[in-house]
Amino acid sequence: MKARRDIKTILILVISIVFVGLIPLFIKGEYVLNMLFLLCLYTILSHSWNIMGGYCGQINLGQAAFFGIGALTTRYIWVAGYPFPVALIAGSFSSLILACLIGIPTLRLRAHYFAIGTLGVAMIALITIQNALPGVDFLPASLMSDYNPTIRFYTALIVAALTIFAVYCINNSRLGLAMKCIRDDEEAASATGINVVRYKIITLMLSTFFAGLAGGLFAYYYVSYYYYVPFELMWSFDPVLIVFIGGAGTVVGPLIGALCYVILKEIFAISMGQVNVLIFGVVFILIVLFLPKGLIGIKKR
Amino acid sequence: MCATNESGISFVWGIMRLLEGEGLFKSFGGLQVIQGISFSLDERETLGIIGPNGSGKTTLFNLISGYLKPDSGNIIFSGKNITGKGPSDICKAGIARTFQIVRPFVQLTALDNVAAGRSYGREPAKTLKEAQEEASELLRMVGLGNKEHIYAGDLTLLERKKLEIARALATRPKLLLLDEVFAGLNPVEVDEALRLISKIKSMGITMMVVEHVIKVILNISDRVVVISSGSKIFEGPPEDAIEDKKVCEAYLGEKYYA
Ligand SMILES: Nc1ncnc2c1ncn2[C@@H]1O[C@H](COP(=O)(O)OP(=O)(O)OP(=O)(O)O)[C@@H](O)[C@H]1O
Ligand SMILES: [Mg+2]
Repeated sequence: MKARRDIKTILILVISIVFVGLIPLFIKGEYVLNMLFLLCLYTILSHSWNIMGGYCGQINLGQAAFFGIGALTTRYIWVAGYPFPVALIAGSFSSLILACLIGIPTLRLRAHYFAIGTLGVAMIALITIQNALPGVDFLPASLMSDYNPTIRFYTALIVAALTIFAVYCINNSRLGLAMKCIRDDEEAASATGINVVRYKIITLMLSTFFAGLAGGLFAYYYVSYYYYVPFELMWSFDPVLIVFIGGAGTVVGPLIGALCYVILKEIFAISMGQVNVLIFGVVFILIVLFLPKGLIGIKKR
Repeated sequence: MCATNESGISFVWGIMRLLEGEGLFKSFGGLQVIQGISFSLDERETLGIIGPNGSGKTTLFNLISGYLKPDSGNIIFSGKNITGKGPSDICKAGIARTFQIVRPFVQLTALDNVAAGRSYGREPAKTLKEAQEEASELLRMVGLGNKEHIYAGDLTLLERKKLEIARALATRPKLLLLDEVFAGLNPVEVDEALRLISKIKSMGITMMVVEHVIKVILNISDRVVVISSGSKIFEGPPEDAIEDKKVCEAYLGEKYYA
């Protein structure tokens, strides 16, 4: 019974990834590419949050800092002349290192305090960048000449597929089980031999690694942006919303969430401008109240 | 009196001593909860711990299992001093516990609850699959063979208690601490749970059992320690405990003299 469910999940995942990959072949245009790129970006970022929040139950609101540092480092190393994959990996590791420096001390804080502490980290990072790097990050002419959004989208799609695969593996591993136990009951987890602090640190490192990957892809796709943009707090809140829309602690949920989010945002942002923030606030409250397991929970019920 | 062989296991007159608490003290703020308790436990022995509400039984378990650190005193397990070690290390060393108020992982299936113990306890399984296979056997042993895929949050109290025992056994303990497993069960369920505990005993696992139900204590303990207001007031065979005057005053008195 379980094996059959696993195969079904894998099939759904593979088909959706291939389907998304085929769309640009039939519908041309930068608009579609932008949307599909955002879909991949949000999938990676929300899965990064899902690892820590959905599986391990630790509400991390500092994701913007990890996303931002990934973007900053990747762009810097890439512009310095290294191949993009090298820059991307370096960017992810920079997030991981930031997690060790700042995240691990905040892990000593419990539950709500951890959420507030990590939000503080994101705010400090944002203010620091706004002051230290007030300008716009332009892609140099040398890199502009071979700018090709199609290739960039497919890069993001591959990274998204790898991220989903990684989460799938975590979900079916001893590590994933430890994370879920910590989410359900920390004291009972330690009674079963799980070193709670150690597994929280491992989870945070994994989570921030993927946030850094997402940041790196942001820096790869967008030609120019203010340095502070990838540090904006929406990169902390959007993944929370997406994960809760789709279903926390699941492999497929964040994909569904990201798809809904990209579509809804497109509709609301065009028709209502800034009011969309309010609308997403309401959506979030409704989801938490009436669909605590997200859209994926409807099927399971 | 005490000799230690190479493997670090101490023998006292030829009997293998598994656990020893020496002069344990614990207070919360100004409240002295454990006041100089010493005790010992031999391998394969079942020690019953009884005492009135609030006498410090759960606190004693919390000291042994690493949830609390004693203010002073030592805890020696298998010849090693484990005082001050954290709960996960103590579990890995071979002491498993259940909680007075059950704490299953409610969003996990019964199978995964037990697989967690098998994955991270003593001699842990290498893969999740291996852990789940052994977990499945343990669930059958405690009588939850048909509940593998049910979420722990959907189980009845008796089932949750059995699940918690299975999860504790999955960590391959040398010593099992049971905190009021029988509380809240009806007489039929008590009998069922008693059979399970006897089965565990016959597997050769040493146990420390906190219990209010006298029938249970008489039935399963080899020896009884009675605690009152954080001090040990009696130690000996269970039949003698209910005869002891001090014990009757402190504990049974509530029921018999009322
Ligand atoms: N963490 C704590 N902080 C403060 N006081 C505590 C704490 N834990 C226990 N106590 C107090 O210590 C005393 C002993 O509690 P304990 O839970 O060990 O009793 P018990 O013998 O297990 O009782 P019961 O039979 O009701 O389970 C009680 O007075 C309790 O209120
Ligand atoms: Mg108690």
